[in-house]
Amino acid sequence: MTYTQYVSRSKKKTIKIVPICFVENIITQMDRFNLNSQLEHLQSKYVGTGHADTNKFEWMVNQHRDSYASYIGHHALISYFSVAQNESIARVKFEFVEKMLQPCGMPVPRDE
Amino acid sequence: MREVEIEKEEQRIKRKIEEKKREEQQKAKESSTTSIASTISTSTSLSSSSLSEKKRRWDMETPTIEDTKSSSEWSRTDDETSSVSKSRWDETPRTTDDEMDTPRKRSRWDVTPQVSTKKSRWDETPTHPTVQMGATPVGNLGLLTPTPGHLVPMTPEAQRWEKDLDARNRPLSDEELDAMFPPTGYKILEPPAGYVPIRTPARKLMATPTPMAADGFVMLEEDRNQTYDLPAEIPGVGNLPFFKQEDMQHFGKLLDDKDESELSVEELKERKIMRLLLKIKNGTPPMRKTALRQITDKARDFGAGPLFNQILPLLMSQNLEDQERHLLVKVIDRILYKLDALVRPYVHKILVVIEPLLIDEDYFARCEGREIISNLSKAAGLPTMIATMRPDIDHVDEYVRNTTARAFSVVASAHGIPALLPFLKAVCKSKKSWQARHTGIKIVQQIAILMGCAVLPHLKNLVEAIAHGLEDEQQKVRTITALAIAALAEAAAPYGIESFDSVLKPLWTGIRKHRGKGLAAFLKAIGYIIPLMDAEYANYYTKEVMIILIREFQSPDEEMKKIVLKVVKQCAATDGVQPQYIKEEILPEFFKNFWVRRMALDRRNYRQVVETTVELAQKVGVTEIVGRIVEDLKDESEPYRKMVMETVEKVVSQLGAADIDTRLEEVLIDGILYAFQEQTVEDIVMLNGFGTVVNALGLRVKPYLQQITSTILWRLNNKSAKVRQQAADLISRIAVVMKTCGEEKLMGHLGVVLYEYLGEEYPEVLGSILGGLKSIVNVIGMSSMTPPIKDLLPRLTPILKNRHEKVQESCIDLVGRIADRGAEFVSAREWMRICFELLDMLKAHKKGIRRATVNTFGYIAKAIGPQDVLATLLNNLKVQERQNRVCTTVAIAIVAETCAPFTVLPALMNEYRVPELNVQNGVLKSLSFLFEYIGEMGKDYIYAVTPLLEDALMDRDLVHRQTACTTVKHMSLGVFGLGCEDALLHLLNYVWPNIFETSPHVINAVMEAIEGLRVAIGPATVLQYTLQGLFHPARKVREIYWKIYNNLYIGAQDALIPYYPRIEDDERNNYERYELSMWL
Repeated sequence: MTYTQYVSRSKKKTIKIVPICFVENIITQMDRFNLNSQLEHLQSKYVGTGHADTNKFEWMVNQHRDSYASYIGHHALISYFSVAQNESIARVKFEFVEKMLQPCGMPVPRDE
Repeated sequence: MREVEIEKEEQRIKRKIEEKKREEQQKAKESSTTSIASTISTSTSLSSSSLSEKKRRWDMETPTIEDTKSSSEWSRTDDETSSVSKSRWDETPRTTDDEMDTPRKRSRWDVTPQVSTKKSRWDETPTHPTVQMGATPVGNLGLLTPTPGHLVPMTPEAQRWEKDLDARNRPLSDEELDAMFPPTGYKILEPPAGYVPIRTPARKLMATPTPMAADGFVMLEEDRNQTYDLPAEIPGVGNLPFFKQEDMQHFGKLLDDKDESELSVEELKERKIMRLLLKIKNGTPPMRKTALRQITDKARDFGAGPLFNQILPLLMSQNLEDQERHLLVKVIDRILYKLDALVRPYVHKILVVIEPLLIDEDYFARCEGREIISNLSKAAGLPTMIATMRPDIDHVDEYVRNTTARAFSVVASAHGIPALLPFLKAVCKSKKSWQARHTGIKIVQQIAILMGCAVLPHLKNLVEAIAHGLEDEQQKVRTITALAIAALAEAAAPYGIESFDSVLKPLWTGIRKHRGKGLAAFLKAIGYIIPLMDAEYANYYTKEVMIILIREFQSPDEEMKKIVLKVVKQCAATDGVQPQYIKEEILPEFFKNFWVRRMALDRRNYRQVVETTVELAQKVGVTEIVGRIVEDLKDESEPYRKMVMETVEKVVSQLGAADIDTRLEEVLIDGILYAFQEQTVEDIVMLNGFGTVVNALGLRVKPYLQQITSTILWRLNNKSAKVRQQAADLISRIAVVMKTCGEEKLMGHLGVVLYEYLGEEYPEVLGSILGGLKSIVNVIGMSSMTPPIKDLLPRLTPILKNRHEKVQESCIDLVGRIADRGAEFVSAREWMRICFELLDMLKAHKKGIRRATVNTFGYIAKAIGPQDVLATLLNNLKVQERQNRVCTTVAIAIVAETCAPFTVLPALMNEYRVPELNVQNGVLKSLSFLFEYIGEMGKDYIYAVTPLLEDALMDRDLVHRQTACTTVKHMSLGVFGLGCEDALLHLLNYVWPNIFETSPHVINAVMEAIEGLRVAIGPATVLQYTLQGLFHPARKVREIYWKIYNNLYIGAQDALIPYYPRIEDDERNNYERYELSMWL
């Protein structure tokens, strides 16, 4: 924690005198507000991030895509895979890219 | 009981005395304003009445006790002050007694803001406060607490506060007096026969201590009900932090206690809006937030009419503070967004209120005005805006046209220039009236000013739209067109010269045709266009315009002078203009007309002349310019000398002094010395000039150093504080050069002299003297310093007690320097003494002082070993004041860093056993800083502190856990890759349960600790912890686990790939990452 944060915390602590019934309400409200606003931003930057309502399918899709991207990115890995499958490196790469489209098959309908 | 009564009585008497003092002061003031006769009558009546009153109080019941008590207080004041002053001023023991007067007063104000001590002060100087100001002209500059002499409340806030104070100190009414005194034993005296209460309002204004800042005559509020009984709570709104007198006007309706059921729907709506607005304006942040959301959500239900009917008058009210205005602007912003097209009927109404904001003197008011109009035009659409503002374009009133033009430029920036362009073209060509054309062209000018380089894509169109205005039949239109072109060229610089092709000819022919204001505008346009041209053209056009410029050099018109100077500056700066040409054609006339004494008198002319001359010097070189003006350093007019000095300073600092030959150098130094010695008003300009020139000349200044030094010594002895201060400042400016010239002996002499002046009583001067000493010590080194360090430092120790910021800062800098470089010259005992003094400095308001102090602790600890210093610091953790503790923890960490952690850690960890919250937290915090500073050195200490951190992470106190988490973060980041994973994993197990904390600071610290651990022990481990809760049935648990997961994912996306759990396929989807099972 930085010095300024520390200072601002102490200020809040001394200044804010709010009835107890308010406190919880405010904090949760503020937290939700912050958390969600940041989350949206986060998700726009990093597709792979999740939230409390992420289901197994979505999570796995992200994992698979990340995995394929990683395989393609590490040359050692992709040459290993291509030897194992007896395919050319370029083909394996191409297949991985193709698979990123629907790595786990059809999406699961979300129950609301 | 009795004591309480006595105390009350004493309080009242003190108050009475204060009142009397105020009256006396008033009297002094009045004597200057009113006639002598009336003064005599009022003063006698005032004093007699107060005397009689006082008498009545003094022979009250139990006179003996009263007497002893009061006498002790009363008689004490005088000796007390003297004793106080003595003790405070033994830090500077060489003070001469006769001059102790003023500074003592000031320091007393810093230390004991008591009523009783104030008394003697006022008795000493019963004059008008400004007189006292004059006596100590420097005193107030750096102080945080303003001297009471000039307590003129500037803000409405302060005025209100003062009013409040007056309310409590108002004269007691008869009823109150009756209630206070016993019924018998008292006699109510008649007022003296000659006494007439003041009736005339003007005098009354003088008599009541209301702020004098009010402009002109103000009728004072007589209705006490309104003044003193403002409601604390508004029905339906709840507790507001404040409710001001001014709010009554707008929100008074809320207080009339009507039955809500009897009101009509409209009235109810009105009240609802009013309440929300009041909450937004005066409420606490949470209140404001909810109210703002409500008013936004319901904006369409309320309707535009009722909303704006209330917001607009509120926004127009006179005494709106910046913050309140900002909030209301925010409200309008939000509801505009919601209302959208519904706002159309009210556009004009809103504009009428908002447009004046566009020409407000306050920058932020202008910004907010722009913001509203921009949003408004987005909500209402361009056609509505044009339709609404069109009638104002040729309004008879110039003011309206001006604001309309500005508003239109905002609309243009909101909707884009192309959308507005057809309209603009039409307006600029209007045949109906010249006012319309004028406004149209002004819109273009404002667009250029507002949007800057964003006009570039449309530059050609804009220029063409207004070009014909240069030959308009109306003088005003021609002028504004030239100004608009100037603004466009300024905005477009350095591009877009091709767009101006069409206006070049009319401009250049125009300057031959016009005179006066029109010519000034044309010249301005040319001045801005020339820098856009390439070298060849610039040269040609410059020569064309220069004839006119040189002719106008003689113009008596101030405005013209400024513009001419500006254009010369712009022309001189372009590449194409040859130095030869400037030397031959411009310089002679320029110096003849502008380097005259008269130009130095007006601030703006002065600046312009200096700037232009510096620009010319860039082209023609130092010698050419400095040679011409150097003689004027001995001019008899001081402002003129100052102007010369400033120019010399700027030219020399930009171009160096290599060009200056021996003769010029001689004359220059001579002139500077003359100008420096002859100042009557000590000015920073002279000081800077002196310093810059000496530094630029470097070694060449050696022959003059003797003379300079004797000047400094002479001035250090001067009676005026400012002169002494300036001389001391000069020493610090030229110390480096003196060293370069090998004048160590001279510097040693100066050092001794400065040392002797450490008894200086003016803090500003003392600060400068310390600064001078520091610069000397810096250049000649600790061992060859005279006076020797062992004599110097003991003299500095008492000065550390000084409360003045400048003194503190220079002193701590000097002490820190000595501690760093020459600690061995001073005994350990002296350093310990300094340590104790330093603790007080941690309280300083200025960050620089605190930082220097903390660093000094480090140096001292290095010099005398950490044990004693540490003991002092650890003791200081027990103090109440937070800032002090925080600084102490930093100091401990620094000591640990400089003296190796193993010398400090045992004592520090032992201190954690003290069962006191502050101390334990301080220890943890020190550890946190410590690990932050020592980085990878921390690997040797992790196992030692782990048990302590375990304990802290399990503590009941939130702050314990928070600080421990921060420590874990720093520690783990420091030891990444050094094989401490086992200890860190152990700590992670203690950190992890804290993830469910809700307090924002704690949860942040926990998250950061986990991040740090992720780095140190790898993401795989943390992922395994995280997987437990990602799909937990409880949402609260999932939320925080996903948050950790996201952090983890962002930090180590690629590294996680091999560690994701293996999920089996189901009937629908295949989740297996089969590639990972390939085996060769």
